[in-house]
Amino acid sequence: MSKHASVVLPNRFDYGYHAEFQRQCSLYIDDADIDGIIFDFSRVEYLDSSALGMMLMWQRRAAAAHKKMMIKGAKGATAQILAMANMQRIFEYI
Amino acid sequence: MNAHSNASLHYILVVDDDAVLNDLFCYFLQAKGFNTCSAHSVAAAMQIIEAGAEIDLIVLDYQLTDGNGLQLLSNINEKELLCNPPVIMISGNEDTTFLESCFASGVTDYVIKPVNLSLLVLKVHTLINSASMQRLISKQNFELEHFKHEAEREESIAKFTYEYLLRQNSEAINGVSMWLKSSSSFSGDIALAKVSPGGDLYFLLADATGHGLSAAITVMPVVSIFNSMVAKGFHIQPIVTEINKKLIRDTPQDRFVAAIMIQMHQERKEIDVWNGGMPTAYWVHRGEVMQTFRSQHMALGILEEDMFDANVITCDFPGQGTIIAYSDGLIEEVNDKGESFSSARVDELVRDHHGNLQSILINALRDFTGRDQYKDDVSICMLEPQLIFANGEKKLRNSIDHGVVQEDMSDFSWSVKMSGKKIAACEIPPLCNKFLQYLGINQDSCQIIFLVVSEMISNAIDHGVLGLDSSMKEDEGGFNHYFSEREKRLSQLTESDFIELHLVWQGSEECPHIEVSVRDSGVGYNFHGVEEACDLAFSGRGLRLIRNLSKNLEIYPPGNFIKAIINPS
Repeated sequence: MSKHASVVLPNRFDYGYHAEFQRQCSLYIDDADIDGIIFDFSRVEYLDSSALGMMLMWQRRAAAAHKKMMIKGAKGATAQILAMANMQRIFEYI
Repeated sequence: MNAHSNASLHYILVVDDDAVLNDLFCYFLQAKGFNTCSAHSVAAAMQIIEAGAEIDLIVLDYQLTDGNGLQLLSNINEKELLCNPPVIMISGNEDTTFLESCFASGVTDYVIKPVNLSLLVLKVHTLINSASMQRLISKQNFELEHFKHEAEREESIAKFTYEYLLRQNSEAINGVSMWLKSSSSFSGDIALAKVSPGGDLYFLLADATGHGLSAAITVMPVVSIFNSMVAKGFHIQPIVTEINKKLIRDTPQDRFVAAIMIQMHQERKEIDVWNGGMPTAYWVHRGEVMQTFRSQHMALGILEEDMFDANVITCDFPGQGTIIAYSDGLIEEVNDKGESFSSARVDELVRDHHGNLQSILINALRDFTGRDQYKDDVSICMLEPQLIFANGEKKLRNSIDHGVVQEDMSDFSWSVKMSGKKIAACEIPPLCNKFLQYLGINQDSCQIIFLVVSEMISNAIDHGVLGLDSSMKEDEGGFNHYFSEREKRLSQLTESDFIELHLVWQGSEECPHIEVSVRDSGVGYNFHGVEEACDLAFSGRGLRLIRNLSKNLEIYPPGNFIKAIINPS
């Protein structure tokens, strides 16, 4: 039975969120019971390239730990920005 | 009520011209815990009463030196004194006619001479008890009347508020049919529809807890937030998040609002639905249920911000068929046999019937109950996208003509320049965003411009003013090293270091656009080559995003001035 954990991202997802982002990602990557991490974008309105950078960095670590990362709830301009950065290539959309 | 326990709170006036008997009555009553005062004549008794003494009972001898007991009573009645205590008449006369005349004059009870003191005290207790009961009842009646009046007043305020909200916030849109049957008082159902500047249809059906004023008060922030955020083109996810936050913060804990919110994207042919605590909504096409939207969330105003889930159900939506949503008043309505209308019945009706589902449900409810007045508010709403979008396309075309931004938006420019250590402290992108929102630029465009400005400003700070090389980030642990170096250099800034942002809106031109430019005091940075790196590298991503989001991007030598042209979405 696969178990997923959610990281609910804030309204403004940028470098200002990195400490909390790092805390949750490492927590779930280290947790042997969890095999997938969902990034919940439902509240995100503003994001920048450092946010994308953080996602990519942690995606590499997750892949190394054989864990999947997923994107959920991105709408409007947020979805457009994620698409432009080709995030769908390495994150599954659910 | 136990009269013995509070006998001392009661005052008894003893009127008897026989000083010995008067003293005896007083003494005996005092021994039983009553307070007493004595009068030996009609005149003396009147004096005491007129002085406003609070007397709970009068023990009155019939025969007095300056008149009789009945004269005293008629004096009291004549003067319409507020104090109108029960009276025990004492007399040796047992004649029936006499007794009748006493009772007719307002005597409450009677004791025959020679007076049995125990009997007198018993009667005193009984009368005082019933008098205080009487007082309590009339006080409560008064309060009840008062509350009833208050409630009616609140009810009318609630109705007024509700009607005001509807008048102010609801748009009549072709293809949106809202049927709302209010129970006698306002019970908290509200339905609204509105088209965003981008041409999307937003629909809200909400049901607040409680009724009357308290429901109206809870519904108010829901309506105003919905209205203002739709006008700015926000997606429904931030709208429900904001409403939930507001209700958590500003309304009592036991107040919440079940709601279904729908956003129909006309361009993307998609529908987003957020359902928190409302009955399942249906999308029906040619008699077939294409999709159901059941409640996936708690109602608004229950979960704290960190627990709240704003995620919507999204599905492809070619803009055909009908969407039907209703409040629980429909399924909870009960017929004579005590059966409720039930969601199963709704489901059956929706699946088995063709035609106007709203009328089908309205008629079914009337036939089921045999009434057309219902206990709770009953709302049944129907959205017909084909009609809505026939209307909406016109709107969308209009908005393209005017660049989505409001028609009356004239050209403007906005500049900000920061120098020295302020560069580290000031958050220019949010400041810029506030300004754009204030001007009424739609939310999607705000988000895009925000991103472009953020990237330009952070490039200008990091690579321009601070001279950091982003290739540092590629190393193992590079991210953290990069940011600590950044902190260090920020603390060493001087007044000659600056960044400057310039926004220019040109709405009157053939193709309205916004121009964003950023200049910095750095020596210039080689942007070429950075962009060639692949999508998934850690650096250069920002610049590629800017290029993708803008119609035109130029970087002027030596690389400390960048300018992008953006067309509003």
